[in-house]
Amino acid sequence: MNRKAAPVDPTVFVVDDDASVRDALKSLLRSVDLEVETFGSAAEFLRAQLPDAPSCLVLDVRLPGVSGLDFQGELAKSGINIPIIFVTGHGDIPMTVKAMKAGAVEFLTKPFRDQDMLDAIQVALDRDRTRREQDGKITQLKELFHSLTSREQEVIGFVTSGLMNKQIAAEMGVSVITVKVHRGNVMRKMGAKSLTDLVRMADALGIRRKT
Amino acid sequence: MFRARALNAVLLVLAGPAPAAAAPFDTSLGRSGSILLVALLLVLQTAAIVALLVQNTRTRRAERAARAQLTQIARLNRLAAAGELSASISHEIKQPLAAIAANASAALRWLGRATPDMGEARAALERIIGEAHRASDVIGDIRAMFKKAGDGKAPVDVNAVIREVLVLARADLETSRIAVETDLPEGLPAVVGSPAQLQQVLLNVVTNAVEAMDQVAERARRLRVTSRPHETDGVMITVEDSGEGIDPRNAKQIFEPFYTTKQQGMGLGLSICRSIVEAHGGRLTAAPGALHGLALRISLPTGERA
Repeated sequence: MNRKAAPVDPTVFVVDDDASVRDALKSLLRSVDLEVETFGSAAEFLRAQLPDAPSCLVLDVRLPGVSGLDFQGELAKSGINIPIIFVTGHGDIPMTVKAMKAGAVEFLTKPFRDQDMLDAIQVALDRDRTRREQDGKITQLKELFHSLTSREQEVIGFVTSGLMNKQIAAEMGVSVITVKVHRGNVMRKMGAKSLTDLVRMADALGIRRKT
Repeated sequence: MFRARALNAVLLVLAGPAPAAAAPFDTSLGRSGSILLVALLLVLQTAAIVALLVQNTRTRRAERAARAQLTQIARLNRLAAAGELSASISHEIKQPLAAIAANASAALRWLGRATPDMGEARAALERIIGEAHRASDVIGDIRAMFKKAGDGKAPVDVNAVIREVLVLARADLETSRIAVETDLPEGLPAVVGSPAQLQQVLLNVVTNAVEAMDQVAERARRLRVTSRPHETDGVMITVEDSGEGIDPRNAKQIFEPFYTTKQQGMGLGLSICRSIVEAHGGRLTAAPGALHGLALRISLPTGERA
């Protein structure tokens, strides 16, 4: 699936093999000014282009070809983190538990209350918005990290693991002064205000050395 | 066990007062010896008869228990079948209900907007009407399914039903690259029954055949459907596939509810098919076919006898 640039309005994707349920949902969501795209099958949805905007997926559990729960797993495996709201004709408890454990936002049984659906969609879109912001921040941090020299990258690992300048100097086989210079460059280039700030960045990037 | 115990008791009784037992054995048994022998034989015979009677009673009791158990299993099966059926009915009904509820909410929301959107509201309301009829149709279909085959009987051209079913199954047959052969001679007598139900039976049988050939790679995938006059007053439809066939020992089982070889199957298809065929006064049987796989035979009587 590719990401398309143009629209920034949040979009709700509906995958249900029943055309009349799709149409009804589409009308309901449009009546509260949500962008909606509907699909008859999981495969159709996979072929679609996801917009570069917060989005969520309303997914029928019972789908032709692949069950909604399996599809949830497939999406997660291929790194598509779209929040999912499940709908089903008859949901049993094990099914619900499985879906929720795998990160579903909500599990609604048909016929569902419109407010329940709209609330779930709000939660899902908020969740996606937050995830996208975090993703954006991490991408930015990564860019900053890659702008560092390899020595500076090494220093950031040592510093954020709590080593003293002297220890770092010994580890790297350079002078304390050199370490201090690298350290200053790292703080400046990463835009870190304090050591705590830098540690937080290292955590987000997953580059903090475990001591 | 009983016999051995009885024999022991008899021997004990006889051994007590008999002086012969204490006397040393000689070659001739003597007078008391032969009386003893006759008595022993008589007692043994009686014991044997008693033992046989007891065993007979036990067997009959076991049979009764087994029968009761079978009835119980059948009852449980029916209950489970009803459960499965109601689950699938509730799914069929809940789809239109979900659509109705969502459309009604949508209509209200379109009307409640700062500038009410009459067009959208109207469209949603119209969809509600359609969905209400759809739900009603679902119920109608279910009722029709449960109605006896006798109701709404009509003369049915078996060959026409076969052709319709093959058209319905065409997509599946083509996807699975199955060669279809038909031999449907003209001039067969019409059977009396419900065309829709017979179509359902045949479609189920054909679908099973298609699925049975799913794994077949080393030989041609073939489906052969033939119709023939059967006995003096009936028609026989035979559906043969070149699938894996079935162990003759399981040939009876495949008609039992919940017997299935498919991962996704409920095992109700053939049991329902058989009920429908029998409601038509016919028979549905399975046997190894000429194409390596299974041959399912549906015999249906014509109106004269039914």
